[in-house]
Amino acid sequence: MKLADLPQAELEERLRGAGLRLRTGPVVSEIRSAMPPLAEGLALLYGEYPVEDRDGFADFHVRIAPPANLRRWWRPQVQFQFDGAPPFHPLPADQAFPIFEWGLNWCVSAHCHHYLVLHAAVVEKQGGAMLLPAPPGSGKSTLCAGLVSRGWRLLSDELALIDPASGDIAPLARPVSLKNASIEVIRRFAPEARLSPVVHDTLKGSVAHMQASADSVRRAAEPARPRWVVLPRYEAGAKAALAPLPRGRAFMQLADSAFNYDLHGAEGFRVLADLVEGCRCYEFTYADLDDAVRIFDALAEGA
Amino acid sequence: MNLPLLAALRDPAAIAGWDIPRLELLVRQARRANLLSRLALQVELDRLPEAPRRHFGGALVLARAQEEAIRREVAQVSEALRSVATTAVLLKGAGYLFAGLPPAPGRLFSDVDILVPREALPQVEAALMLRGWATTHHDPYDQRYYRKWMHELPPMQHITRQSVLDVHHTILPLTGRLHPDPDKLMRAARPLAGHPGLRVLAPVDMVLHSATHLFFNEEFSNGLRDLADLDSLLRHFGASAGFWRELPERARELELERPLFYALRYTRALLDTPGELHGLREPPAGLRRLMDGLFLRVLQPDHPTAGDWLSPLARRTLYLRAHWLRMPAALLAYHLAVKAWRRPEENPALQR
Amino acid sequence: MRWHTVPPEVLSWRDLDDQLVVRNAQSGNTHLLSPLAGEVLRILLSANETMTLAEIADRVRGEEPEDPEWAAAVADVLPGLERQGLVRRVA
Repeated sequence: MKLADLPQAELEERLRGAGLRLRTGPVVSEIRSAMPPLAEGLALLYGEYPVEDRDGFADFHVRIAPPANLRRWWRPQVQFQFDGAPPFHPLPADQAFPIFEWGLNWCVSAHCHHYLVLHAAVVEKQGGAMLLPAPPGSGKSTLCAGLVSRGWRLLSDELALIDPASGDIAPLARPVSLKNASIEVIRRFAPEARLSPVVHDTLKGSVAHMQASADSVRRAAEPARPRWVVLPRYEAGAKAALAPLPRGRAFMQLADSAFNYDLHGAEGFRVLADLVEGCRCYEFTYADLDDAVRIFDALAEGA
Repeated sequence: MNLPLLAALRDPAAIAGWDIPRLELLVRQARRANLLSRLALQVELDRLPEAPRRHFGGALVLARAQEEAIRREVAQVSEALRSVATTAVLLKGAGYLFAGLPPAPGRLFSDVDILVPREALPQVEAALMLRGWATTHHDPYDQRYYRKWMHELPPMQHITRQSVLDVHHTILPLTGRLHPDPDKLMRAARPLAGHPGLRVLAPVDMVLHSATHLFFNEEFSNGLRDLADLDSLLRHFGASAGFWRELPERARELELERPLFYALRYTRALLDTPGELHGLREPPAGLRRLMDGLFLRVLQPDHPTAGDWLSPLARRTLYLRAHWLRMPAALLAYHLAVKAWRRPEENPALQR
Repeated sequence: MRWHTVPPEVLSWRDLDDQLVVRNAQSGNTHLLSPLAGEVLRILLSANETMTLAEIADRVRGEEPEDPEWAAAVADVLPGLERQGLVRRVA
């Protein structure tokens, strides 16, 4: 059963009561919340995702609720709870949906150590996955959203889950998070894409989430073989340029961007070295999304 | 008490046969109690269904990384203290690991704790600072709190590795009501093969130290983990001849009968630990009942599926008790007043 | 002065596009070595015994003409490798 098959009233009831079990790739989260932006955001962006039964296994139990302080009426707040305990400070209540997304990311990066987890976007075309590791501000999410709206499959905009045994990347296929200027860029680039309402004044500025393509969600059980590592860098006015990146540098970049490289020890070294050896590695400078799509499509064709 | 986590600790081999909902509860409780790694090493992973198995597998990754990190850290500490003519006793987690004892596999902890003679403190601190450890808690009040009143230096943190080292010179605060003699502990400490300059506590002392640390502590986020340590130690050492006679005798000698009583009582109640209580002085029945009400609650994981509505009150009560045990009433009043004047983030009573 | 690597079991390494990445299990750190430093480490790893600076420089030089620059260059990278805990010296 998909979330869209649930009548809105029932969706809200599950969220308020026994919890809604939502599958995103290999991860099942049991979600509880009485806050309207959650039910609305889920109905808007998560219609295609499987809803699981209570007799299956839920990996994480989360709740999005006001914190237990005295701020109920004056500048109300919202907090993300993991098994009843909040990993971060409360935020203004209108950030309920973003805090849910950030919280789910945290669940994975802090607890999925059976994977090597990198802070990177991952998209796939023609059977090959492209890893886009990049620090905040590099434009990777915009690039990711742009590629996904032009036929690339979305595995994740934030978290690359590498299976140490196979070297493949597991999808989460969750909505793509967009900030500030990139919201408008994507609105123009992909007017048909569904975006959540914009939430302003968050720690990251203005934030919105773009729905993942139905194809991405449908194929969320399908891992992808890494084929390219690309370090993107947005530079206003720049001509799009793809330059080869020495694999040694690509390796260090991936290790730096990993959440749990150190935990995996020698095994983590082997997994990243294998990955990098099997990939073509590039640095990519760009200003225009159309150029980016053209160049990456050509890469995929030439594969 | 029938929490899945307690049942799992008592009989890890049976976990592989549990149904999915029970396994799900177990993973949640064990993760909160910092015991998932320990269980991961005791359960037959291959027999588990895939979804829960991943979490145990992830916990194994953590356990291996942890062990590597602690070994590395102790090697550095050992190297740093080579120039100081003293022995250092590895306490708790680091001690269990280097002595190859049953609590070690899968035990998650981050600090290394060592015990050194009080006279050696200045040289020890100097040697550590030379090798990159720096003191923390720079506030003059905090510094005095630790150095004058407590049983340890302010925690030392390494500048580049960020690891934390706690240097103890006795096992209970100087201002406390009990004064177990650290010299006795050091004299009975056992050497570690391959690590000159490092020791571990003698078996009965290890049990007593663990019991004292747990039952005098102010917070219990690792309470069940520490109780599981005690269970492992008692089962392991309890097989040796003379241990059960020596244990209460040593407790009497070190004035630590009360924490030993609680250790034996609560390991038996929650983990079915075999043990012999005879010869040990018990607290009066009323106090015993009160402590049962408090400890049986706080030793459960702090999780929505465990404990009851009185659990938060039990935690707060034991927090106050811990401070009362640490210092005489007048000093405590002063100490709490100072803390109340501080920024709210520093005041543990206002935190979760 | 003779040089050798730390026990190879403690190291993981891989040649990536002529650069060596190496992880030192003793320090927990991972390093990307310059081509020369990588070559020096490779040479020491394949030797089963200690080597002097001159011996290492000779190996690095290979077929190239003799030149004191080689030894100077190798002398430059060895302290860094030592600091990273990858090689050790014996007097």
